[in-house]
Amino acid sequence: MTAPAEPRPIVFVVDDDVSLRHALVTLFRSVGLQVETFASAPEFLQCGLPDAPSCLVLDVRLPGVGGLEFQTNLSAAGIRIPIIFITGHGDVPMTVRAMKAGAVEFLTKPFRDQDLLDAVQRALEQDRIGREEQKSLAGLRGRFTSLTPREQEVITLVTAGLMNKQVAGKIGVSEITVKVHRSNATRKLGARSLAELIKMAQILGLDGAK
Amino acid sequence: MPEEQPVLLSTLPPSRGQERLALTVAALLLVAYIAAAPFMHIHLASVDAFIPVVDTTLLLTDTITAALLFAQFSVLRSRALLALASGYLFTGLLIVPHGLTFPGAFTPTGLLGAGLQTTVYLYIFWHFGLPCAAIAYTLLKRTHHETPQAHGSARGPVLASISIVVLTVSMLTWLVTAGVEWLPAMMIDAMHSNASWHYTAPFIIAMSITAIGLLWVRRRSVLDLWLLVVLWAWLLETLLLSTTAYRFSLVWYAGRIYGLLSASFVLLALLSESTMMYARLALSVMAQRREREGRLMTMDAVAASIAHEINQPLGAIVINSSASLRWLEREPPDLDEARAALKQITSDGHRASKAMESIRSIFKQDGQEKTPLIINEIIRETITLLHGELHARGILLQLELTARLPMVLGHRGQLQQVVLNIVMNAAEAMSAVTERGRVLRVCSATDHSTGVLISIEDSGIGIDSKNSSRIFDAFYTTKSNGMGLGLAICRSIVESHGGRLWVSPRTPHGAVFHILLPTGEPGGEP
Repeated sequence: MTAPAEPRPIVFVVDDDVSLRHALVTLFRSVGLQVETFASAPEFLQCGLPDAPSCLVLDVRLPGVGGLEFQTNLSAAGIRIPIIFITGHGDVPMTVRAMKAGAVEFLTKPFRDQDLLDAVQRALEQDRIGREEQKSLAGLRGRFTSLTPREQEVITLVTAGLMNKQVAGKIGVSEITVKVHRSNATRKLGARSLAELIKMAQILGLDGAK
Repeated sequence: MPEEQPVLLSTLPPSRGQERLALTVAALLLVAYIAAAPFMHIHLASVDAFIPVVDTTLLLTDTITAALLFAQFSVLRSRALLALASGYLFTGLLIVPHGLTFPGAFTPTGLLGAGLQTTVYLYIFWHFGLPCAAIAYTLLKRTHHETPQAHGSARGPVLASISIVVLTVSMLTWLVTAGVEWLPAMMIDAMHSNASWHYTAPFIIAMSITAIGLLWVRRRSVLDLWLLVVLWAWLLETLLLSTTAYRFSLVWYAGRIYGLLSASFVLLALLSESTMMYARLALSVMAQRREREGRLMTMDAVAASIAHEINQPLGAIVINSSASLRWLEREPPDLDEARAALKQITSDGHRASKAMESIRSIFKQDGQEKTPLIINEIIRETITLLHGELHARGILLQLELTARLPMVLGHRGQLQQVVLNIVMNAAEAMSAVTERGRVLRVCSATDHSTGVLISIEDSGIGIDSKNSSRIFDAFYTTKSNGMGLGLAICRSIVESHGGRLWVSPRTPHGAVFHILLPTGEPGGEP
């Protein structure tokens, strides 16, 4: 078993209360999680995100930019990090707003440690999957761009449901040539069947109808 | 002793503007009267429709005025108002037979079997009626203090008054129609009066003057003011008519128009005042509602800040205790980590109890009377407490305290908390500032001699104008290291002292917090 060594997951904590930050550090370390803490949202942004599964434990009430506002800012900036909110006094509208915006959990202080740890595990798992998807999408894109323009054209039309003969007619080459382009492209993309090829086309957002 | 009084025309003192307006109207009436004097005896054509038109208008205005006054009576239960309302009703009702019996108005000799003398007698009764009612109103007003007798139904007295008035009017009408031959003659023919009229008119004039004199001395309300204008017009009308022995002379027409005007003035005044009062009432009800909602929101914010203040250390305690359990349950147990977490619990516990204590000290009302305070002393004490903190943060402090400010009635500890909070806020707002000086300016001054104004200025990051009201909400904060209890509580403290707390931007950088505290009159209510 020689799976590539996965980077250690990391939990970020943004809370303006110093003793709560200390407590959270102790708790996360006790279960072997790497943790970094910040007193405010801008401080967190300055640190830069690592290339590892991570999640953010965010206080709702923060100096300057509040937690909910910060959540909006992050998603507007295209930064996708799972968020667990913690608050001293949660109300229903606040919870609804946070959850709708994609928060993993909304915990009211004082919360059970297991609830927080479970939420953190879920958030890290979510981030791991997200990262993998992101990675495989990037790989697929790379393989697709490595195709010749003709191959790309053929694959786009084939995955749109056209027969080899129709494709040949459409781009003005012989059916044999289409077959060659198609088998080369399928190999380069790493697809084992037409079904897999169509799935890839969907992920890539190819549209043969145009 | 200020008593709870419904705000009505009959109780409200007139404003300067209203007094001026009434005086202007009275002056204009006088000017018109003097202007008419040279043309006293010009004879004009007799317009038969004139009297029905004037009388119909008078009937309407007088009865509406009576109805409005009865309505005021039903609120205030003042017998004076009942008398005046009855007077107006009497005048209004007596106009009916007057119009009907006026020769030439409906038939050449008048309806109701009227004789030659009928109309002039009705006119005399009518013109005695209102001054009499005004005198009764003035006298009753004096003996009968404005204590509202809200008990019992108003319908009884009102119905009784109306019945008496209707009965009197009917009897008088009967007297001047069926029994007119028993009365001395006033009219020579349908156009000319004899000397008896000239002897009667001075009585009406004397009555009007008496009423004006009495009411002038005892005038208090808006109603009194306009009643004076009516009596004035009444007097001028009678003066005009007393000088002419001829119906349908210019003076006669002028007198009638005076009568008409006088009735309309009061009605208009009553109506416009009522409308304005209604509008004001509606506004004040709205303002009250807003204020109540504002207070509820502040209470909510205060409750939330307290919850925050307590939940924060509580949250840390719970997390630390579960973390220390986890360290102990490890194989082998990590005693050092567990010990560190337990130490944290101790200090968080102390912090929670301290927060509780400071909340209690703020809201402890009993045994803590409001005392006259020297605001500058409170500022100096608080600043002294924070001196080290400000110095450590590299903040330059400028104190500009105005000497000999009036004392403020308040709770020393609470106001200290407010100043402390806002100063700490200002200090924290400047912690991110590196490119310019960190300057904290604390000033005290009088505010239009109604209060003391404390302003706390910083050169920090400032507050967005869109956030300047939000910062007093519970869920918004610009500070947080556990000192003080937040702006929501500050605001509720200042408001409980009858003052205001607000923030404005400072140019070019920073914010100014203003605390306005009213200066209690010595011995007065706060």
